[in-house]
Formats: sequence, structure tokens, C-alpha cells
Amino acid sequence: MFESLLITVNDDAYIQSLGRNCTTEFALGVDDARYHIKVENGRIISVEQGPFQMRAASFLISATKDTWAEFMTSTPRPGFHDIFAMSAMGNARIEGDIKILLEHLPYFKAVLGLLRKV
Amino acid sequence: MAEIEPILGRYLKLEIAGEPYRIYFEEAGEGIPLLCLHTAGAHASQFRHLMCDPDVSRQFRVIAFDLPWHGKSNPPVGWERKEYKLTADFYVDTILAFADALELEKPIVMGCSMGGRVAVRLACLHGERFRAAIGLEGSNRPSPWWDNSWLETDFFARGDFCEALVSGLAAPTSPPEFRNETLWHYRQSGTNIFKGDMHFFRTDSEFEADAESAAPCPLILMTGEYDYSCTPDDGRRTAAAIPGAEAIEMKGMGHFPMSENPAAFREYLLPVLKRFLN
Repeated sequence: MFESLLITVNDDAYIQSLGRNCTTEFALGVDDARYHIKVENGRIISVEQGPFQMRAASFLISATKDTWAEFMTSTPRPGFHDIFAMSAMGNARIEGDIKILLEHLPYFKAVLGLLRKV
Repeated sequence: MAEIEPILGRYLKLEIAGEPYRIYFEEAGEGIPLLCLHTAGAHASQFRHLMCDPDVSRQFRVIAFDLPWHGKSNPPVGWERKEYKLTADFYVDTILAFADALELEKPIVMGCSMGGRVAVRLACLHGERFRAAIGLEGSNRPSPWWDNSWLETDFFARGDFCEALVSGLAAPTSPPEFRNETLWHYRQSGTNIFKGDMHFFRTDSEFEADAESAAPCPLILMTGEYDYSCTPDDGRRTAAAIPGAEAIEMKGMGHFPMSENPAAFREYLLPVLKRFLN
């Protein structure tokens, strides 16, 4: 579901520049499935789908498949148009080391924005 | 021929809570004063579209000032050893002092976000001074969508962080140019000024409306459907608790109606303003 980031982020020099100091592994949850995404200095190194056995991630954003699908439409409905909107309206959970997300917030907002169909 | 906008910007010497300040304000139009209050960490330029709208400026004198520490208004002398924290009392004192200094006669006060929050307080506590109060994305208490512990981090010192924090509050349906201009204001803010405004917004802005809170002036709460900081339900809840208050939901709108989608906003605002023409 998120494999496209390997191409879209790595083709976007500006977005990579936002994450030039970001090296981490974060996770996205879709229903019961997990995806781990490795970032190295703003480049996406891998997008792997679980199951994983107690594998660490800095933070996790989890939502239902329907919520992610709505998030990815060109004009999502209110409450589905941003990760913080999803969290605020009870449509997603954001857990773990939130400080990594916040430290590189412009980068992660831009990366997830690339999932949106234009 | 150069395209020059009708907005005039000037500076005003203003005493607030016993201290002298140099305050920047902009205005355009003639008629009923429409005093506009910007959002946290931003400045008066958010209202530039209203000032350039002839359907507004023909009958209203649109005025917006930068709060102390914001935009082109100075912080107080001695700022270098002060931590900026906006309080409800200072915010109200500033607005009333500004209206007095300009001798505004029964202005309509219209604020957005924290300006909308203070509009509720102004209507209930000082409503006799205003023709009406309009709260854009304003309610009577915070509906936190992030943890207050975030304020203990250093991230709020970064404009790009403040911008990213609020970016989802602008609606995806707003024109990208104006959406992004709105977000740009969050990069312009002085270091930790947005954070200082959060002191009011998050911990000192609650105004408990009760049966005796009847606003002495009309109070209209206009809220965008994409706003998750002040939801349309927050607007309706606040309006329901204050006799005479009214809530209006704005479709396809986010947290910054006047600057993120001026064309859509005027369709909601013009009929409201029209009510207050004599």
C-alpha cells in the first residue's frame, strides 16, 4: 500500500532535502497489517510489509484500510485529510516516539502527502 | 500602470496594561468599523483579501492590527529578558485599548482561532462596546488535538515546524496559493511567539458560558467543516450555551477562512455583515 514511496520520495529532491537529517524506521498500520519504512537522510531505503516479530519502529501511525483509502483520495473528507485530523477525529492512532515525528514534521507531512492522488 | 492595493498600513503608539507599545495596523474602506483579530503566531495580513473586497470596503472600515510581538508590532522595551506568554487579560486589554485609541464607534469585532476564542469573551463581558462579535473557528474552550507536553520541546522555535503543525488545518479544497500563503505566515513568526500564544489558547482562554452569559451583542460563530482544532460541533456547542449566539458551519473550509479561501469565505460573511448595516 505504501511501496510507491520508494519511487515518489526518491524522485523528489526537495522532499528529500526536508529529511536530510532524518534517519529512522517508522511504521504504518493498516487494519492488522504493518508496514515498516526505513529512511536514511531523507531517502526511502525500504518499505517492508510484516508480520514482524517485535521489530522496533520509532513511531507508528495506524488506521483502517478505509481510512487510508480516504486519506489518499484527491479531496478527502473532513477528518481524513491529514494525519493530525485523523488522530483528532478518532480515525487514526499515532504512537511511539512522537518526538521523531515532530522533529522531522515538515518531511513526514510531505512524504505522506505524496500518497495523495492528484 | 502599477497595481496598488487600497490597504493603508500605519503605526500607533498605544499604552497597554501600563506599558508603551508601538503597534502596526492596516485598514481599508469606510463605514462601520470591522476590527479583525489574527490567529496565533500570525499577523494582520491574513485579512488582506477582505480589505481589497469592494463589497466589504464600500460599507465597512476593515481594520486589523498586529498583536504585540507579532508581525510589524514591537514587543515591549525589555523584551530581551522576557518570555512571551499571552494571557486572556492582556489580550482583552490590547483589543479594547486599540479600539479606544482609534475611537472606533461600536465596531464589529471579528477574530479567528484564538481571535475567535477571545471574541466569545468580548461579546459576553464587553458586548455593550460592540455592534456584534464574529468568532471564526472560535469556541469558548480548547479542544486539544495535541498534547501540552509538546510545548516543552524546542520544536516551537522553528517556523517550519509551526507551519507543518497547522498545515492540515487548512482545507484541501482551498486554492493552493492562498493555503500556502496562510502557512507562510507561520514561518514568519518570531521565535516561540506561536508558543506564547498557545499559553492563552490552551490554558488561559476557557470562558465558561452559562445561562447568565447572554451576550449583550450578537455573537456569531462561523466554523469550517475541515477544522479539527475548533470543529463545527465546538461552534454549535458554544453557541447553544450562550443565549442569543448563533453557529454557522462553512462547507469546504478550514481553520483560516479569510486567508485560505477568500472567495468561498465572502459568500458566508457578506450576508452576516449585511445584517449590521443600518
